[in-house]
Amino acid sequence: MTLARIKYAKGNEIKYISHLDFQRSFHRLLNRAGIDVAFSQGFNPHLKVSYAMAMPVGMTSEGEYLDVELVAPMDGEKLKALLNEQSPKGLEILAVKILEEPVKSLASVITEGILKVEVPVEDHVTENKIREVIREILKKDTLELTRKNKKGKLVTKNIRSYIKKLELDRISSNKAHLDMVLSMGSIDNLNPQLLLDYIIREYKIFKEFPKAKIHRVDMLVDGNEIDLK
Amino acid sequence: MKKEFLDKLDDLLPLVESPGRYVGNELNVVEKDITADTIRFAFAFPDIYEVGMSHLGMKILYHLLNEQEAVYCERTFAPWIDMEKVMRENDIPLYTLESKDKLSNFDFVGFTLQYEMSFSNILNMLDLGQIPIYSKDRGEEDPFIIVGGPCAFNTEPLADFVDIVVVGEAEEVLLELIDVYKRNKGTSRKDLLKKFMALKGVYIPSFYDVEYRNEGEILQVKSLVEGAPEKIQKRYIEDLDKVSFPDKIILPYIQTVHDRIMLEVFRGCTRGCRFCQAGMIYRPMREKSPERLKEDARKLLEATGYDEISLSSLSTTDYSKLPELINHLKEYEEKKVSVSLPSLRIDTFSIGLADELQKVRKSGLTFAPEAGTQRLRDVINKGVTEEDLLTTVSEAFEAGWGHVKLYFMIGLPTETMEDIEGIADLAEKVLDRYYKTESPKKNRNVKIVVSTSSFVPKVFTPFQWEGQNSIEEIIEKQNYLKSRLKNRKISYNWHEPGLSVLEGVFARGDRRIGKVLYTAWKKGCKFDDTREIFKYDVWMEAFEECGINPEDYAQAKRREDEILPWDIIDAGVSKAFLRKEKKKAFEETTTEYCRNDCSNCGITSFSGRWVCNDLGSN
Repeated sequence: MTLARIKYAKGNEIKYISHLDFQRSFHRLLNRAGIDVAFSQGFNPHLKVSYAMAMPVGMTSEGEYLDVELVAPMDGEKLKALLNEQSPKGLEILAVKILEEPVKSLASVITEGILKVEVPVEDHVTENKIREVIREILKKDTLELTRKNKKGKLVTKNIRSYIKKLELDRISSNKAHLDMVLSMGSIDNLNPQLLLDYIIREYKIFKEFPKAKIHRVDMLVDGNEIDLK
Repeated sequence: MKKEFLDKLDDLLPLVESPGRYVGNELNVVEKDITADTIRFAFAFPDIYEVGMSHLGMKILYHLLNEQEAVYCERTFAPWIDMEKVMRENDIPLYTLESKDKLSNFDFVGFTLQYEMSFSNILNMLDLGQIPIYSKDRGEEDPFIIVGGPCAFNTEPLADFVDIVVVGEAEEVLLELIDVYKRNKGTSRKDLLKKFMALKGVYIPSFYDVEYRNEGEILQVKSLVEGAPEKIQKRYIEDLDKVSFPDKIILPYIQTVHDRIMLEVFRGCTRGCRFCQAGMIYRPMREKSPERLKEDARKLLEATGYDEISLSSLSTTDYSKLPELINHLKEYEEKKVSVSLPSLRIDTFSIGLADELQKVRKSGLTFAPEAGTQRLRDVINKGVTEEDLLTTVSEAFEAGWGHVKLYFMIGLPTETMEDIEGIADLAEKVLDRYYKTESPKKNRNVKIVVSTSSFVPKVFTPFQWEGQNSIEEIIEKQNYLKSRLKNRKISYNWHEPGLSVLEGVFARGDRRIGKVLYTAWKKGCKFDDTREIFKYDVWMEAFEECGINPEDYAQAKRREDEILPWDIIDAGVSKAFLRKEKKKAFEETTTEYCRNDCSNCGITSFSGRWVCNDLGSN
């Protein structure tokens, strides 16, 4: 059993592609590149590719990960080159590591995401005001957000501990550039848009429109980088 | 060229459904530098992206035009309701996906006319593209609006809106048009149109004037320009092996309606069903060689990474080299590439093939008996008997299929309630065959879906003089079927009756209904073939305001000796043949399949040197 662990970037050109559509196009990329990928058994065989995290529509990233199960071992650098040769605009393969030992799935081990967010500032709101709001948020012990779960039921959760980092980097042309590290993964997960909606609702320092631009810098496992060396 | 609306667009796209429809950037998109000399062609599909990107003709012409160094062909589609609202509120014009340039900056905007119900979308797209809707209002700076496709065999309802009509297959004509344009740059709009007029297969509606008698028939058609041809002969490609077929097609991100490789195995169809327009206007039947198809398949698989190939044509099981082609394509099986046949003939040969191809999942099978009794099947020359159908479905049930779709038409000429009863009977007999099937592979889930569309008389068919059922008659027949098909295992789908009547008006309409189209569009009609959006009442208001009774177009019978609005077009099948076929229909006699016996439809004398080769049947 050989696994290729792949780190990739998703640029502006394809940020409006839904996760499902992206999966389909990645499978076709594997076909074009002639990679021998293992198939699942059963009535409806499909390529064995598993994704670390679904990617929300509109988001860009330079830190996405997926695993591909290969039929036979192959060189990681060669795989990377073959994929980049065939990849569509806006998709770049950044690194590939070949794993010969069984490993836990990415989806089950990822715990945090590093994000850069660009959000329009409401008129007359100063840099100091934004910093003050952030300090206030970080001082809280509880920060309750209500959202619908998958079954459509409303659930309220204290998500204060999910905010590992929230900082204002700078303001340029009326947009606040925020750095965040948020819980992400199968156990605790905070969607950055939810946090922004909360700040907009409670403090009115950011504009609701145009929508914030969210960029994923990387994913972490218990605070550490994923090793693809 | 800085496009001021692009930044706005980036802010607004998150607000609409499926923003991927409006951004382009797909794999294999053609990119070119645009200079002052570039001839810019916008291929416009009057429906949403998912529908347009499923269309083989668009893929063929896009790549054909882009093979020409001087031309840059780009794509645009009808924005969905939500996007249109965003565009209108924020002054964003309709743009192409490649250069994001607005339509009014192009030399040509070409619409493909696949079905009549897209006509309102065409007006809407012109308006969104900031192009005058009426051709008489376009100036030297405006693009030429060019149309083609199956509905181009009667574009009279669009005569006031379009500049150029291409009749028949467009591959060669488009290149000739581009060539004329290139050699005459700087010539006035009207003089250019005169030069286009000289090309075979090109029809310029504004060069003619139609006079009507008081009661509505056409009195005469006068040409307004010297040398305007009396007849426009359709164009067709003689050798499909030699015509351009793309070896790289655009790979959409969004799942389109037909999200697979489509190989065109042949054009035309020789079955001679009397209601079928495609079977008449695409004559003669021309096959592609298996060698060429194998080559096309290999290139397209490499260029896309698709894992499904569909063999597309009007009746794929009539392809004379089908076994050879399928055997070859099965070599791709180990790469998990599957082959599908979109249209199955009602015979056991087809079931054998389908069984071979659908090894894993036995999804549904679709058959089209079209009529419920043998008498009516003879009227339409369907050439299928009840026994054929029942034997075929028995084979299918034995092979493990359980889901069967049956397509019928209601409102065919000479139809009585007995024929409607026959539809229900046939569905029950099919189900009965399922219960009688004894096979280890028998599928435990059985479902028979009966689907009826309403017959619409089309131009250049033997039924072009016939009337259509009224809405009331269609509803009555549909209700009867609803009450008859009560078995839990049989379900029934039907078409929107109001829509069929409207389609009938436009299919055989003349120039006078152009103003109805304009009025209905002004009142907000668009996406008429979408049930939730179609506004039948608003359309009827538009007819009333224009003083036109839709029944005069849809339900009235036409005399065989009157001048028909589409008489200016020569589709290659002779009027004499169509009359003869109509007569035989009413006598309930069938016409032999072309390959067994030529029925002299006129295509050989039309083309001058075409010989229908007897390819031998399967």
